[in-house]
Amino acid sequence: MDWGKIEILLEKYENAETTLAEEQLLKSVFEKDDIPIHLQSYKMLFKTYSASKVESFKPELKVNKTTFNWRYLSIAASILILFSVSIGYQQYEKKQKAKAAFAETKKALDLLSQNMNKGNLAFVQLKEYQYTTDKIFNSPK
Amino acid sequence: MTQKEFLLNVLPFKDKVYRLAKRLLISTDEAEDATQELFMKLWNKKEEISSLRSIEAYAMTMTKNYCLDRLKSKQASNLTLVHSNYVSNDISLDKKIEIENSIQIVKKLMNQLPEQQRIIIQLRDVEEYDYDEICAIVEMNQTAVRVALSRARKTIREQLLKTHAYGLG
Repeated sequence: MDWGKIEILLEKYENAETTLAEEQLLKSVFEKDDIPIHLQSYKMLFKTYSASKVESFKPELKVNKTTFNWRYLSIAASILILFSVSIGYQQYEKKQKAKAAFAETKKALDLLSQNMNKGNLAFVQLKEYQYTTDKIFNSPK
Repeated sequence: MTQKEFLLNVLPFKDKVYRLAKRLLISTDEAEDATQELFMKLWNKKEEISSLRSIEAYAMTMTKNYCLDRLKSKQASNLTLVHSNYVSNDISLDKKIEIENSIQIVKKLMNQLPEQQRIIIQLRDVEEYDYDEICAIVEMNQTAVRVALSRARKTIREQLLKTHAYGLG
């Protein structure tokens, strides 16, 4: 290993004149174990930088709070609609039955009143008869 | 943009957002809350961002601004920051402790930098963004970014040499 070259590179590095490729070269050079004693501290330095790069964000990212709420809300809403439709249909059925019963009763009552009127007619004739007899028998008075 | 498209566009850089948040806010919990909050904001703006050239750069700028705001309000309410532990892969215990120690030291040094430099060093040395992207994210020109980066790198280097000389040997 040409340490003279490395030292020149290190100086460039400290002046922020190295390219990314040169910096990567430095990092890989200092991965090795046989490093001159006066350059040992660079090993620590580059080791830290490489070690720092592997740290990762552990928890799961939560970005979808709002969309999840919407989804649950829509499920709840559809269940609600289903319930109200079925209840409403039951109510409608009940009402229809009541209507039918009402119509039936009305028919029966109509029949009754028709027959009643027939009876009434007879009464009217009877009344007329009574009136005439009264006229005849009571007129000389 | 549907939820699926949104996640597809946004998930690849959620870790970068989280790491930048953590670099600035330091506490893991704070950084997780901030990330969650930021992605809610992005989701609410999904129609606007779908036309952007780089959603990632926009998200990183948002992260930067959001965290700086949080830091400002925190300084006012005087809350303390909590360090959390780094989990490494399986190596022998001695070596693990040693590495972990040195990593903690460097991290501490990074966190002592001024916020602007901290952001830039996070973007360049950890996330490996190129200068154009960094300029877009921090809303600065390239010279200013390079100056800040150089300063940050030199500070960390000097501090590291000091700790090395005193403590670890």
